[in-house]
Amino acid sequence: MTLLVASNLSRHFGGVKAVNDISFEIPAGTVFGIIGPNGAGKTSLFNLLTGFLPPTSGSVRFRNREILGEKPYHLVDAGIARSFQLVKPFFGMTALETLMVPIWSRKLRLKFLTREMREASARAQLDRIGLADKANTLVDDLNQGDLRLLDIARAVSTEPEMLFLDEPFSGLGQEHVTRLSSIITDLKQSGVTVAIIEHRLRELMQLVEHVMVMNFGSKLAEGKPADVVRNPAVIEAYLGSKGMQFGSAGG
Amino acid sequence: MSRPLLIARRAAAGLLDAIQALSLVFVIIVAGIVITALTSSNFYVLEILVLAVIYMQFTSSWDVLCGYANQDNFGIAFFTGISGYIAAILNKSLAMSPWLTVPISATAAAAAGLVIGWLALRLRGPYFALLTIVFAAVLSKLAYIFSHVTGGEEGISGIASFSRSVETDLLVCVALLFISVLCMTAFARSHYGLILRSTQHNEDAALASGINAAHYKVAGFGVSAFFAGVGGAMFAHTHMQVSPELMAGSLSVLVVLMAVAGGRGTILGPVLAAGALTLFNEWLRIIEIYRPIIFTGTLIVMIYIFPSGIANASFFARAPLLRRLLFGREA
Repeated sequence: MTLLVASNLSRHFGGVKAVNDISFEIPAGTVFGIIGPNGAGKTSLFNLLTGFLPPTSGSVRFRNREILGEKPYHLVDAGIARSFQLVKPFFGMTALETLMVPIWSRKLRLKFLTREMREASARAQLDRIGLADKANTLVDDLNQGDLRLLDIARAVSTEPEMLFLDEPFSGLGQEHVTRLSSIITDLKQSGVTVAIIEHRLRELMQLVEHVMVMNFGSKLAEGKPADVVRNPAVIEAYLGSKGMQFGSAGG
Repeated sequence: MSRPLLIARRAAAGLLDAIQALSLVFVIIVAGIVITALTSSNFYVLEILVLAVIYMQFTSSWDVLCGYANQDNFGIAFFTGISGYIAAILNKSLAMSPWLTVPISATAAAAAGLVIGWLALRLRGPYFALLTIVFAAVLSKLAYIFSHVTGGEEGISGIASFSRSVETDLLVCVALLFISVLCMTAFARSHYGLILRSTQHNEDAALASGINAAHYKVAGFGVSAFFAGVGGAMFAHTHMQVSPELMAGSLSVLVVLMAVAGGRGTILGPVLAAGALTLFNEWLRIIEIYRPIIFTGTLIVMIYIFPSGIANASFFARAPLLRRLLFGREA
């Protein structure tokens, strides 16, 4: 089953075509990778899909319903969540309080009716990312890796069907990378569809079943990771010599 | 469970929680004012206490939005002014009792607050502050332009007081303040306070968490304006006159200074600071010529020593019991 279908999606900033007539499909229950050089339009594409950027033209259907141009908080109700590339935490709030915020979304507020239920839910999410012992720590005092996991936990707290992760691995140490990889694998096993933008190809290629390569706002290639990294156009545009290395490693 | 029932249940639970979290020092202060009202007949003391209560109402109503959303409203006098004048006009021309004018004028202020809140949604920092300054400035000019209704520079006098005695007026004011502080504490401790705090630094993450941040910010504006309006009407019915001073920029700035010195985002910090500073300012009348200099100088020194306000000073983080006594339970 196809969960999300984007057709002829475009977003222009003046003369710059940040996203230029892109069409793709994300099958349900998969991990979908989006790669491309800096400025290829990956984050703009995520912003279009999650309601943070109004489109110039095109269509996005999620579970057969047109969602393009809807507000981010309405998309959360529909089952779409996202994390951010640049993590800006809720300064002055604790880790636990951070995860209390999504509980007040329209989608969840009737699910957790008492304070105890809400706190238990937020604690369970903290436990999942291994920050249970930092529940009452101010986010101001958390390190970059913890903050990124917390942002992802905030997105996961909305109980999405489709989760967009914007460069989740960038700037993470090995320990956090391992933790995050296992979180993504768990999510996939529980039926969540995940789309990931990533520069760290080593981590990405192990997780994804399907990769789309973007360059200059357009789709350059699409397919299985092993095939994509062998595609000469991709190697030329983005992967360079590293891509050759990956290609041979994959083969 | 139906939606209104759920909201009512949440509100009741919130109020109960606010009562349990209430600062002991605040309760003692309220009790002290009540005892003074019942025992003292010193007109001067009672009048000063009324003024202190009104300033506590003003600063706490400022803090319930601005302290939590970390936005500076430099136009709180818009709400105190509009409410004070509406109360005055309703009382004078329709002979309405203060028991009606207070809720009506505070609701009118809240409605104005919702509109300004909606207009200010996209603004942050100095731009937000400028918008609030402009609205208050326009309103105070309108008071001069429509002087046949508002009395121009003279204002409106001869407004009915709450009761025939200053003692009872003080009791009414302190009761209104107590109820207001309870309601605002409940609001700030509810998810409204939580979400207003989350919008301080990262509204996008709140939106991505399924939160319609605009709803919370506009609601916060409405609540702040309502309780500022209660304060404005309190002023009208205790001073028995309103003048453009009630919507002046100097009042707005004074409220911001007192709230910031007390410690924003705590409700009780601004309340205690406003009470103490108002009494201090009156005490300084014994050296009247230096009073403004000493008073503003004290405020500047306070903000210099405690940039985030007394209630947020680091020594309270190390003394949780003292913090609990002064400013109430935190979590």
